[in-house]
Amino acid sequence: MLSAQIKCSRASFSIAANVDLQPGTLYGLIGPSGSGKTTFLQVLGGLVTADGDIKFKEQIWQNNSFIAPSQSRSTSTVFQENRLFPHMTVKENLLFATERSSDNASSVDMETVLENLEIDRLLENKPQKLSGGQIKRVSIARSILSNPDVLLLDEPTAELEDRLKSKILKFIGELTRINNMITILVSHHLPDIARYCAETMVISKNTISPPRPTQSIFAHGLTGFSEQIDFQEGSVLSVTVVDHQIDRGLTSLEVAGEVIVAPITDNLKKGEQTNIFVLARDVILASNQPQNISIRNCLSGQLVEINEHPDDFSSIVMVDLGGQILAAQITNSSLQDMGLQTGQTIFALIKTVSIEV
Amino acid sequence: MPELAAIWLTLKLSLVTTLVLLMIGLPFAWWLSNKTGTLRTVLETLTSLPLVMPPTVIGFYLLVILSPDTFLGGLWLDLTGDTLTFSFAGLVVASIIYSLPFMIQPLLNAFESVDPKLKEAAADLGASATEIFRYLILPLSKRGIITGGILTFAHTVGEFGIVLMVGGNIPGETRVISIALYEKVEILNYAEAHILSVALLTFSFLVLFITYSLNKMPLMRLR
Repeated sequence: MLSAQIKCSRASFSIAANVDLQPGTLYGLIGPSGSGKTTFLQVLGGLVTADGDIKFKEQIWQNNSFIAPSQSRSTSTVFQENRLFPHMTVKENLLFATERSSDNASSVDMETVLENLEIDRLLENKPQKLSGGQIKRVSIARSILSNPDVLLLDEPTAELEDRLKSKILKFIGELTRINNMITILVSHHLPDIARYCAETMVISKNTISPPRPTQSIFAHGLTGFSEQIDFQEGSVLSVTVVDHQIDRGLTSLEVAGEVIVAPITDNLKKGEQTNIFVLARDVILASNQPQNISIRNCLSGQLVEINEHPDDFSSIVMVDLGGQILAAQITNSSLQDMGLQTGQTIFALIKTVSIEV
Repeated sequence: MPELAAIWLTLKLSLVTTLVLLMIGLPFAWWLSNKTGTLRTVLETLTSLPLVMPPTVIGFYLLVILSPDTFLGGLWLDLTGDTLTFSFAGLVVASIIYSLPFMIQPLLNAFESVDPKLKEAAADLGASATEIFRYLILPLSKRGIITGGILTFAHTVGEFGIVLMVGGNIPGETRVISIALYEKVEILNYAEAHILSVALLTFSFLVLFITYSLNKMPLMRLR
């Protein structure tokens, strides 16, 4: 377990945290720009000093009289900017990490990493020759190959195309579980957090909240948070891939016993399970099963909760789809016209193109 | 060709001085580049003094310090049976001090121009301070190291006052090109003085030309 009670004050901002993080978990960290996300990661990595205590398992990383240098902490950071060593090839950059990796039993296999990050063809190149996305992928590989106990990812997917992003985040999620790592993912792209992070920490009012289940954060929204970043309510649904309809460009997914379709993806195999993120405002509600409409995805469920949105004239309606909760954002006037009540049966419609897989 | 012995001695002195200064300068400049505050300013000032002091002043002090009556000079005499003053070894010591800024400043500049974020990244991956120096700072400072080496070598070739004070004019031992040239002029042998002067001028031009070309070259071509 990594426990951090820290406070870091700078001229422009201050950040405080009191969190306990568990191995084998991928954590999301979200907050407005300049709120201290990067600083928090660097404090954990030993690159920025802060007041307070940090303890990893039985090791003290810092207390009021001692600060362990970065070298002696089994952390590894994927920095926001390019920090590949410019005089070394990609391969030499990666070997620099493996040669200094912590000798855990759960060491990572170079081949697997190269394959998943799709960098096996770049090995002989110098960083100057790489594109922004390639630099990110090599940086992620280098951090993974240093075999850390704590992996800190600062906007790792910012320059990646969607297909690679999903593949890489999925890989990082698996590694986190298999190698029992503590991984923290900072991203501005909320669906990334929603889909891949089991728990999420939120920065608001200069404080990092203790991690909470990601699903509940996205379903219930964050009061006072939406003004600061582009936070939008949505729901995380666990789905299983039924099949790929290549000719129609669709992937069928099973959710709570019903089948929906999403834009086709080649990251997922048949039978594989994943999370999808559906924005609440992309969900349409109907009291009766609708006929003759273009929307392919119609799920029936039970209306379990209605929350008035604090900021505007809308409400978030929670629909129970056989155990999984889907949030829908509708205007208060629709709510009244339809006469929606908790406990009633309701049909939720999701546009195919709004589903990110 | 006149003065072959002087030319050979000059080259030997410059090479030895450059090598010794590299060995001293690399760790010292690295250590200094990680320092801040008054100590650093004082040390930087001290190493830069030879830039502004008359060589005769440095030469005079060295003559006093290295003489066999002092601890240092006496120790050297006991160990080697030779005096430090008016000897090749004494010239090396004098040249090291005189050329110190020409080695330290380029090294300091080079070390400090390495992005600290790269050092952080290396430390984050578990590299020790020594490893960071060896695998990151040294290769990324290649240009500065080469510049320091060339400038030190060239500056040693051209020194005069300090050599005259500490070494005198002993053929094969301390009689370098600049001393030989001075002597030619003294005895009004302008023809040979011209030859030596043109040689030194050409050498200096080439050295500076190479240095400036190196500094304008993209880093990658140096590798």
